[in-house]
Amino acid sequence: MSTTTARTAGRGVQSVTGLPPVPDLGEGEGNPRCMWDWDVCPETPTKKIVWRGNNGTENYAETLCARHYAVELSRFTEVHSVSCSGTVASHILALGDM
Amino acid sequence: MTVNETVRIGQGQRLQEQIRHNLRMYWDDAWDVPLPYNTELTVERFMLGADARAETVSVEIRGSTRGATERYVLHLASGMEQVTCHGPEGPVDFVHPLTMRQWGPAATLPLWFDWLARRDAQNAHDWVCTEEHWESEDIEAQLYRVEQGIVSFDATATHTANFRTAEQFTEWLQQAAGPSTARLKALALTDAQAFAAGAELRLYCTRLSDQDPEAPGELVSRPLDITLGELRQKPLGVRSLGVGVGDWAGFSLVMDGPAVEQFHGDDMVPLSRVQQAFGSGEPQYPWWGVTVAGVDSVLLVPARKAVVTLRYDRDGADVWFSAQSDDEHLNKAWAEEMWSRRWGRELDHTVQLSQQEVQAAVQSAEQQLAELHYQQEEQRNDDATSTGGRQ
Repeated sequence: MSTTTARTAGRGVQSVTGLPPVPDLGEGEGNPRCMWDWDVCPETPTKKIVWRGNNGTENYAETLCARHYAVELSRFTEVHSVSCSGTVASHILALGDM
Repeated sequence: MTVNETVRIGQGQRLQEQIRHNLRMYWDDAWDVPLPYNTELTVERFMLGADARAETVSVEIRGSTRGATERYVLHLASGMEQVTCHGPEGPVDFVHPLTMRQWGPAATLPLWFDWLARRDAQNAHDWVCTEEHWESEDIEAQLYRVEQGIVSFDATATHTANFRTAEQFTEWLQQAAGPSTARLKALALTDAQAFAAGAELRLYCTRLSDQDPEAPGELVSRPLDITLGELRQKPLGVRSLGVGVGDWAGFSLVMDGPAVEQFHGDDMVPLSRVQQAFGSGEPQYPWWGVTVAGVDSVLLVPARKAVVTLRYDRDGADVWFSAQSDDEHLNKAWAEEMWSRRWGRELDHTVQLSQQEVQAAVQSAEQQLAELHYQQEEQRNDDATSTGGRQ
């Protein structure tokens, strides 16, 4: 998977995960601010991460400013994946520009 | 320059070299460890003491108010492996920063170096927190928080080996709960027989909700794998409760004033059935029980092999208590610590990043995620090839 592919949301993800395209979740609508909640971020979101729902929960789009998008992705790679048996593809359906 | 001065400078350089090459930390293979974010401590700041045999080394780090400093003296009389530390308030006990276990007065020199670097960074961070209007505790700041809908939250963790008595554990729970009205209490397991008999080999998923007084609780029972013999043995961790329990156990609360409005706990036992198994003081068996006033449930927590965390939010209205096996906790805490060191600048909301820096961060994060994905896909393909035709 190239970085360019990873940035592509929607149909581009098909080649990344081998999964069907993600339905439009309307991410960002009604959500004018970056969803980072460790502290208050007033930035407008420009990126999204679509997390796959598990145990019956729905897929969930997290819309973030570019800075917190990078932080959130790195946290998944460097922290979460260390103790989770799931894979990138089993967690993330799409990512990149909104 | 006198011969003595030359010798001392030579020893100082050699010591700094040794420290630099000994920055091996919590694990033997962890050589390439980034320093804590925002620390200004470097090996070069360590000053050789007056003792020409280099048995003491002193260092100054930033204090908890702007402009202040803290001076520490490290004593190397027993070599680099058994270093003790003297700070502004006297001898310092080493607390492992990841397991929170109290080691006592001695630790290796690299561990002290890292401890000091963390403290330097934390002190500098504290300046910012106290200088940010809404984080202080004066009336004006509290009113400002109410107006803005800003609530307090915190998380505190420690190792269960740090407690000798149930009273010490309870005191920690109450301090860690901060402004919360939840009254958590630790009990010492003093009668394993009574526990086994009372629990009737059942663990319960328990729930309490004031919203439905007709059905205040729900008990879903499942077998308690732990045997009387195992209760008497040293637990390996939270997983010693049974195969199905895993390395984590805990409960959550929602408070309404002083009353518990909602409660959810897994793998607990109704306290009323096992009350006589617990007492105060030191446990006779290596387990604590943790319970909450107003809730008839108790969680067994390994006395020497767990890290416990108490977290609250919404000014203490929401409370979570958890216990995790200490080895499992260490793996996660190590990953978390290294991540926060590498990404400290991006995480620091007081730092304005340039467009280029943000772009570089995005590229780096996407790249490493892509690499992980690629590795996992390769692994999946390898596994498929190796089992090909035999599925």
